[in-house]
Amino acid sequence: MSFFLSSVFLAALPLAVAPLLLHFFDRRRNVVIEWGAMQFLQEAATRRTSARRLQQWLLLLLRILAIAALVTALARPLLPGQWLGATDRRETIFVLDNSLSTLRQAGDVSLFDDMIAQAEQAIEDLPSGDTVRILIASPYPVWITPASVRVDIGSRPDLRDQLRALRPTHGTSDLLASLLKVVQSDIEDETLMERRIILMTDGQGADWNTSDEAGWQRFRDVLAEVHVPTRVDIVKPDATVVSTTNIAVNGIRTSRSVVGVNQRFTVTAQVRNFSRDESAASSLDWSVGDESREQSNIPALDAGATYDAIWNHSFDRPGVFTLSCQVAADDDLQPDNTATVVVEVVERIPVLLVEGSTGFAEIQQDAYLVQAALGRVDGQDDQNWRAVFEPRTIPPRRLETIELDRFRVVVIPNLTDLSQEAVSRLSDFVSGGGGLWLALGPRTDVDRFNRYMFNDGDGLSPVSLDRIVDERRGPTNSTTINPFLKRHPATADLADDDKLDTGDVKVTRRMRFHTSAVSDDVSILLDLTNGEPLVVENYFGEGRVIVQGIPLRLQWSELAMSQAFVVMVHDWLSYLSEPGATRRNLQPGDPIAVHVGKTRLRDATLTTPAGEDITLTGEPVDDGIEFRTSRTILPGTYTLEFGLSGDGVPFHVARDPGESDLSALTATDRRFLSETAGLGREYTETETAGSNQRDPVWPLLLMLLIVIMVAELLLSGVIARNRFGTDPISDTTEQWAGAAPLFGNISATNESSSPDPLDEPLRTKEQVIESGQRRSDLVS
Amino acid sequence: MRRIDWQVYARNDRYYIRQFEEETNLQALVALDTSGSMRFGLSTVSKFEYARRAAACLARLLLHQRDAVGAAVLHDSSPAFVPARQNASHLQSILVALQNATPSEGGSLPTQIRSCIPRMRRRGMFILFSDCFGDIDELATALKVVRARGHDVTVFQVLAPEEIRFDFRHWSSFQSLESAQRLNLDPASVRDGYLKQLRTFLDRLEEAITGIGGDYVRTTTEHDLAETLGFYLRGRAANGHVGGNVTDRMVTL
Repeated sequence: MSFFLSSVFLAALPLAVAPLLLHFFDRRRNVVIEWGAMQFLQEAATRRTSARRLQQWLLLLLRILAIAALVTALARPLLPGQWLGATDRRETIFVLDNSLSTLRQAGDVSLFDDMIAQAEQAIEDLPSGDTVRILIASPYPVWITPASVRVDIGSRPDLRDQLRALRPTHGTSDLLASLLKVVQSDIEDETLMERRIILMTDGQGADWNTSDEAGWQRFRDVLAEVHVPTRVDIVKPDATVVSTTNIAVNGIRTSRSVVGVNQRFTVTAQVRNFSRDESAASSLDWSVGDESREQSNIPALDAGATYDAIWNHSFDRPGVFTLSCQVAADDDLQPDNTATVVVEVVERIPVLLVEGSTGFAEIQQDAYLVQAALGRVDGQDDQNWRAVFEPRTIPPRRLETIELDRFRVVVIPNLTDLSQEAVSRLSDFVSGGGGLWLALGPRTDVDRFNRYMFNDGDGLSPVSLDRIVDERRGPTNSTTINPFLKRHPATADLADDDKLDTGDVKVTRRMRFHTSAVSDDVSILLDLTNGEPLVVENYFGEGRVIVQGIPLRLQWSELAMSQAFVVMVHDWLSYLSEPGATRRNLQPGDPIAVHVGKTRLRDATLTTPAGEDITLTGEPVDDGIEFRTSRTILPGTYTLEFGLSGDGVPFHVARDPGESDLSALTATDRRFLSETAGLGREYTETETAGSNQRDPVWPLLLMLLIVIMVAELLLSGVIARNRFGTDPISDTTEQWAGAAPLFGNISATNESSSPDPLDEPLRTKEQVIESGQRRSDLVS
Repeated sequence: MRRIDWQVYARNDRYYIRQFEEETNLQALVALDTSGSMRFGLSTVSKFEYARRAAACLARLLLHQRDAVGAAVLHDSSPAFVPARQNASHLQSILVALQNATPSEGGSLPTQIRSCIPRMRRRGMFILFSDCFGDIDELATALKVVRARGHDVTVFQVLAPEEIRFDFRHWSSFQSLESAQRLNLDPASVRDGYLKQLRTFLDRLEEAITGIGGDYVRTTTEHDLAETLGFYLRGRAANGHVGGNVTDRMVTL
């Protein structure tokens, strides 16, 4: 441990002898002067006082000390111990695991409450002067304290209140991300001696993400680079106290997210036994809003086993409804016994059918059977039954002009050819979330399809067309749809071979796709028993496209006559219309986006599962206002209210089912964390924090430097005054008595009556004699 | 009535009494110190050179006035003496003597001064050009003897500006011009003491010379020689110097 924060400056310490060197260098420059006034110099040299010598040596010493003080201060030395009387300065950071699993009970209180109580006590035990920060780990790491808080009599109650205001979430904790955030945080106090991270967790293994080896290695590297000694203490409850018995609803789904009025749909809830032991039989309660509607029995489940409870329901009015289920299980973690899904019930879903044979009788038209599957005959709905989908039929040329945004899906039952303009408009439609169902037939122009619909892989179709294949040339004169369908949400019902005849549908002719274009990346909804794909899917922008190799009529196959046809039409229309519908069942982080038609509303309020209200401002879009937010990281039910109506539109963010697995870290996980991340030391009450505090000295050195410089200046002044302050000796005789001085005042100031003889003109000797200026006293 | 100068009356119609009439010519001896210290000169000509020129100029001045001037080169081993003469051509002899003078290593100035006394048969002026370094008392005694013989004494003390200011900044080795003595020291550290010593010396010297009735002129080698001599001459004229038998009027240069 270095005693200097910037020890590189110590390399300049030899400069301190520079004044001494200059002094000796100056002495070596002995200038020889041949001198005449030796007698005075001898006496002066003899009388040179020791006091003056002392002054000169003292000045030299001050200069040396000044340079040494400056260089040492730049090196920022630290004194060990408490030489300067300062107290320990240490930072304690609490990382709190507030995931769903901390809501399980440990005795009379939940694990989270117990964790908070321990944190409060730890803060009380911290000495005044230490600093504290708090970070919660779920659903993602967030600082509760924006900066370090110094512990004192005033801050302890505030910290206590902040801890007590925390609540667990229904999400998971990312402990790796939390620890990384802490060790990477800035150290505001450069004199900090130690940093202690106290991780309080319930010990659930799922929160540790031990599969991310690279992440933990990086944590270890960052920890090693921190220049302040940092240690991580893990606080977790006694394993014998904490139960891992848990029955949870993993998730709930519906066969359709948008259903029509009185249209039956299926709700499926998956229940899982996360316990180590077999669970007792229980029941599952279905409710709409707060109203209980149905109950399902849940049998006893083995450890780790799942059970799907099914409920069929319909709504008799349009609206957005919240369906929930709750398993009545006696376990220690109740919040995961419930699951919720939001269903939108609509009157009608507009669908556009492109009819290429408008000149024929209706029964001969391509779209006839599709309309019949939707309960529409002779242009009118069946009085006894009405599908939620409301079809409208147009000729192909109308695709260039009609407003496609009014429809959710466009169906072309027997594709012939489309203009480039129509293809372009369909591309825009699908990109914006619309659905497109293309059924190929005998009149499909393969070349134009490949050029405009496939477009080298950038078009609406995921595959290019090869040619029409006649299956009747095979040994069986036909081929059938493969009954072992891939698990795809659009074919879930079609896969029910007991109820439907999907596997019996014979196909005599079809449009074959280029096999080279059908890669593993292409989604196949239906294939044939000969292995060839029959129906493929493409994701184009926000929408979906289904391309099938047979038309939606009695041509080339028996599909339109089968029982599966109606189910297929309804299921695939629902599937294709989903992207265009408002997504109400989200994963954490998915955006909530609601489009409202022309309205004066500009603001909406989103209420989060934590009870927080967020104001959203609508953005103008083409034909209305859109409200959008991505603040959906917290699992639970969100409610969006427009204006002051008071009626909220629900959205639901699903929780991670993995959080229901209460298994603790395995021995392998602990070994991994110890070896890879250097973690594993556990905190006990007997642990004492070592005082390794060091105090900064450079402020004192800088003050000393100032004092030295002032002293040097004063002493230099004294010496200079002694050397050169002596009054100079006049270099001429003082003013001659009665005469003008030699320099500067040539004009006579003589007050004598005698004129200045130098001012008189020259005269001859005789004149001098005559004027009586011989050596005789002449008296006039 | 017999004292009235009737010739003057006839010319000026004014009465003048003639008290006495006597010879007006002055006899002067310019003495040049050739001690070793006179060799010093750093930023200017040496003191010896400066003094020699001053002595030459003064000698010429006196000769031009029809005064008798002699010269004495004060030297321990080879002194030179030029008796006073009045004629203008005597200047050459004086100049030759001054030209041939060279500074010696040392010497006793008072002794050399005393040696000039017998050569001054008539009362006159004794004009000394020297830096006067040495024992003041002995010098004053020697000059007092000169003065006692009825001569007027004038001392031109010639110093170098470095000797007056002592502004040396670096460590120096001061080598004596009269002996083998050498001092290595930091001049700035002894400046104060040196100047005090010098000031005391100069004050005592001036007091000693003026105390015996002599004239004291101090100058440095950086001063213009004409101004220095002019200062001296004006001073003497302002004083109306009538001491002894010396004429009190000199033709201005």
